[in-house]
Amino acid sequence: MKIVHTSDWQIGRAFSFVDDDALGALQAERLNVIERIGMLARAEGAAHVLVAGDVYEHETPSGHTLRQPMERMRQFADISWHLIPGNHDAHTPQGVWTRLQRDNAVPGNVKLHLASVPVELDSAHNVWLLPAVLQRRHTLSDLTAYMDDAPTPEGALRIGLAHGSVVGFGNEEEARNNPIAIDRAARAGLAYLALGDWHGFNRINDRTVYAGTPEVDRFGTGGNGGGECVVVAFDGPTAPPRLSTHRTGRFTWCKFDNVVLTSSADIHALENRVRAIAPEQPHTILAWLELGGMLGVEDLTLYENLIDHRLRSALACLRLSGAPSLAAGADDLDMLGASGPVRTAAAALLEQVHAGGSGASVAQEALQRLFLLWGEVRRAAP
Amino acid sequence: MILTDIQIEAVRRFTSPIRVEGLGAGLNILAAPNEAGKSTVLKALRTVLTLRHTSKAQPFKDLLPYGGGSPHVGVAFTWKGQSCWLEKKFGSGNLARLDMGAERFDGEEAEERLQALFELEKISKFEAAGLWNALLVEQGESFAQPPLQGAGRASLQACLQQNIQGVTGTAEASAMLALVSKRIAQYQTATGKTSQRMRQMQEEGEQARAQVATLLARKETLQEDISALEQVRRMLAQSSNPERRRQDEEKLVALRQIRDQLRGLVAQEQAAQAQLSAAEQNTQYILAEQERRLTRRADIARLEQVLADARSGHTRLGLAVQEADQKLVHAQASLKSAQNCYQQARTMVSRVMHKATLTHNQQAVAQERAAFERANAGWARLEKAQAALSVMPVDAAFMRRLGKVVQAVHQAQARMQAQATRLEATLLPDAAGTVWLNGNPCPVGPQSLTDVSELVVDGVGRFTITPPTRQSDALHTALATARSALDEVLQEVGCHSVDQAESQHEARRQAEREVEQASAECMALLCVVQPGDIAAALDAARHKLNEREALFAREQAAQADWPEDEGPQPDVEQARAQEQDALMAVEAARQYEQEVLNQHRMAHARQEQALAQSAQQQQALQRDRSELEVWIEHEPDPVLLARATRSMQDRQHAQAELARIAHIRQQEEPLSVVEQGILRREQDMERLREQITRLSMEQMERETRIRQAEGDGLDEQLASAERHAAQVQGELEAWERERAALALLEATLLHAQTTQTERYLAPLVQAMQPAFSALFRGVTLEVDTQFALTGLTRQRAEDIKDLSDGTREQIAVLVRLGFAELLHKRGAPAILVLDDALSFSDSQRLETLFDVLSDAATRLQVILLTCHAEQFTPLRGRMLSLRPMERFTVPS
Repeated sequence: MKIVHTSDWQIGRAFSFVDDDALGALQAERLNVIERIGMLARAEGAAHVLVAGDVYEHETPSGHTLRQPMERMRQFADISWHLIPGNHDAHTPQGVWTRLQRDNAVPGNVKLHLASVPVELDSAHNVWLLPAVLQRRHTLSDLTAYMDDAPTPEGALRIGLAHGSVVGFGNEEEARNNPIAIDRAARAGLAYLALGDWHGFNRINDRTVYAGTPEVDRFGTGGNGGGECVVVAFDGPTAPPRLSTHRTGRFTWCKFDNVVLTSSADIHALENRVRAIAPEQPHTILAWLELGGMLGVEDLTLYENLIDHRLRSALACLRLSGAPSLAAGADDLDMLGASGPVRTAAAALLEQVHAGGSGASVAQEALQRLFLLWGEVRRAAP
Repeated sequence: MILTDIQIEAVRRFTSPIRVEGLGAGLNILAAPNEAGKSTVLKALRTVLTLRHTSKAQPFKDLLPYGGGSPHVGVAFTWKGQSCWLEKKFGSGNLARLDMGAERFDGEEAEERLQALFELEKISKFEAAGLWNALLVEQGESFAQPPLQGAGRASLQACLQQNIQGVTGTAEASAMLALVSKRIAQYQTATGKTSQRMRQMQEEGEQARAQVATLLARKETLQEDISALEQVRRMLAQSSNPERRRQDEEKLVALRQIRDQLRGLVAQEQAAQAQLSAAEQNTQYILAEQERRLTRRADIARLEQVLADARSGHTRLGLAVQEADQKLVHAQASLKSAQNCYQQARTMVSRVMHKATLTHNQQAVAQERAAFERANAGWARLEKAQAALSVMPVDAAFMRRLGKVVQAVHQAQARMQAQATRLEATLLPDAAGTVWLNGNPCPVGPQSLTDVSELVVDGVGRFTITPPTRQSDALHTALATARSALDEVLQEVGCHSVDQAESQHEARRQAEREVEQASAECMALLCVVQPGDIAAALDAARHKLNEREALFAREQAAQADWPEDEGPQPDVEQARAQEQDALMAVEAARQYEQEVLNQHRMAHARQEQALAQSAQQQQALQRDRSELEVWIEHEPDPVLLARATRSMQDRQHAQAELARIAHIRQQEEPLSVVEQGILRREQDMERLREQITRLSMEQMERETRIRQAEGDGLDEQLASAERHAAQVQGELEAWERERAALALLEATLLHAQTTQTERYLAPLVQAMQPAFSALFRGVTLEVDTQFALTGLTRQRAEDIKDLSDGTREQIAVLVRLGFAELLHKRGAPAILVLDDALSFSDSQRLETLFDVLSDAATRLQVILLTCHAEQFTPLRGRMLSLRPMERFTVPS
């Protein structure tokens, strides 16, 4: 008996820091990953896919967005998809689930679990699913508590399915809402507690696991990365489940903190580091660089070319925080000639930079542009 | 460079060849009258330098001769020690030739060499320009500073850069500024305003934020709709519960049955209540009737007793009335007697008073008579004095006139005496009677002889004394005239002498004083203020006195008619005391009579009141008896008693019925309560129906709105709008940073360029400064980057455009001279040609300008074309002339 455990699809999510092209690609990929999950289930021989909440990003998506994942799942008629609400798509009045039911948009192979009651998953193997249903975005009570006393036939293999924050492993701040007891699986006799809300794969204990989002959607994904699904194999109601993670994500999100650039070598190294994430497919990379440091005039030009222009064009998204400063000194002024207004202006700006104060940053920017434009002027000169 | 020869042929007015003779180094002056062709020479010189020989453009057309032909110009000059010849022919048979020493260039090659030599630059296909345009100043151009084209500026820049070593980067700075300006134009206009692109982005940001706000509001509305819809649904389910409705309807039916039963009881109760009420009312009436009859009988008995008592009272009252009548008669008699006494006392008082008045009037009339007599006597004196006065003609006026005449006589005598002969005779005692003057004994003492006198001394002889008077006759005549006038005046008043006149005047004055005294006395007695009123006042006083005397006589006659009193006559005081006593007696009698009269009236009133009261009581007694008889006749007392018994029985029956109904109603709720219960339930059911309708409509409306929001994908729209707003905001911030950086860069570059330019322009200012200082003491110059003089500072900064025409022309000439000096210093060819310039300068400035030009002419050639030969004579330059020549001649 195998199942595929996934969560946090968050269909319809928007990303403010990417351009429109990348946004379309990212949103499309969040739908495409459903197909990859279906294919994984078939490949692994899993008849059931458990989606632990947050199928949708918004409480009121458009009708198109609402139906898209349903139609993707409809294509896998041999797979049963078990969906529960999450905090993003809680089962509220007039919520997404009500709309789906009202509009008869739910395929037969998709099971919406909108009540916290045990449901027989597989009669042949006496497998029962115990869903915990969020009726609102945030709740302070542990919705999985009912599982402790939820009746199932003798010898049943009990699988919990919930969306929330497990309490007690250093995430107290997040676990204030939708808390889940860390020992729920043990207390409720669950063979496996499939959880959602954590966007990276996270194995709390042998029987309590966050699958994470199948397509990464943020740089700071909790857990051990994202873009994966978990295939769970059960050998019996009490035997520990066997877990295997499978990559389903297409895009790679990577953040580089505190990158300090001081030379051309640093610039080249940075470009290589980013490209090394997916050397063959740099267009699947979303990189966030937190940059600092100081570069000389020529290195700054190199930085502009390699990072700001070339690398940005290669990646799906290049997000920059900060920038290296111009480390121009008196020697650098020599490239502007021995005299002349340009050199005089550069010297004046450099003096403002060195003087510090509120105008220093603008002077720094102006100086950078002076050197960049100087290059253009020189190149254009006959 | 020095021009040595200019030949012109077939150029405008010069159809035949002419030559400018006398050209040489230093200052050259071509002085010729108007229309002599000076400007044509300059135009030809300018054209040969700047216009290609193949040109057919406007400058060529401007050169065409009036009589037809091809313009032909040749210029000889020396340059770096070698002789040069430039010759161009335009139009038909055009040619260009440039000889530089031994070298000769023709055609286009000549043109190219020419441009190189004079640093010219093509500005069109056939035309070139350079700094030379500024040095060959045509008529009318000298007022403005030279507008420099690229080549002109380049020439100057070359001069300036040569003078300051190491000036580089201006081109790069300009290029960079152009780039910066181009980039900054994306964000702001040339005037610093936000660019359209930036504004569009700002508007887009505003719109994006507004869109987010709208969507947030819609989301809030949606949330409200969703929660409200759930509530509506719960309420609707609760309201539409069929079991509850069935129970409500059953309860309502049961209540309506109870209400109907209670309404029947109410009708019965009302009937019993009516019966009871009627019985009680009947009983009350019977009891009241019985009580009324009893009361009436008691009243009749009381009235009969009262009437009996009244009859005895009437007798007593009659006796009291008779006694009061008698008292009244007595009192009235006493009053009449007192009144008679009083009347007598008043008569006595009147008589006594009248007698006293008569005595007083008698005295007054006597006094008035005495006063009148005095006034009358005064009036007689007055009339007498006035009569005397009227016959006395010598008044004050006459005396003044007489005084003047006497004075004239005295004056005539004085003048006569002044010229008289003095004769003083002192006679011996024995000589008396022996000496005779004019026949009379000669008086002793001094004598004045005014006429011829004869002195006879007895025994001695006769002496004739003739006074030596001048104008003796005139003096005598004057004296005689004065004396005659005196006599005439005296005769007017009948006097013979002045003394007599004075006596009469004194008598008149005495008479006047008497008139005044008499008049004053009369006015005082008659109380008048004008003497003229005295006579009338006297008549009036007489008349009044007569009347009073007549009146008094009548009063005396009337008193004589009074009866004689017996006894002594009382005086006034006594008579008045008697009168007062009589009056008091009358008052006492009157009071007594009033008291008696009041008692009389009261007695009569009491009698009448008693009689009226008895009559009323008699009437009441009759009425009571009549009414009682009517009542008994209508319902005798036994019948009334039987009816009372029946009424009591009806009342008991009704009370029993009411007790029965009350007992039944105690078992049920009150009707009002039941009816209120029914009404409340009916209203509840109606409200419920309305609520269901309202909730259904609200549900429908909210569902519609929610569906609408769902269909629109409100959350997705909101996320998209927020993302768009954030992106626009981020982009705006980036643009703003970029704009600030570029603006700073532009400002810094401009400042650096300006500083550089100022340094760069220093040689030009230095070149112009001496000439300017000579003309304008202590001046400093301001030159802009276009080599234009923009201002000068003497006592204060002055804008060029604010200066006078003459000053601006002088400045423009000096600027051009500065350019020529710069070219010369650089070793480039340079001359200065001015056509009809400096005509507006005053003589002092012109002198100074001549010094400046003379100084410049020591370094470079200066040619002045003018029609004012006398004005430029002090310059002492080479005097040029236009000489016809046989043919155009190339110098050998």
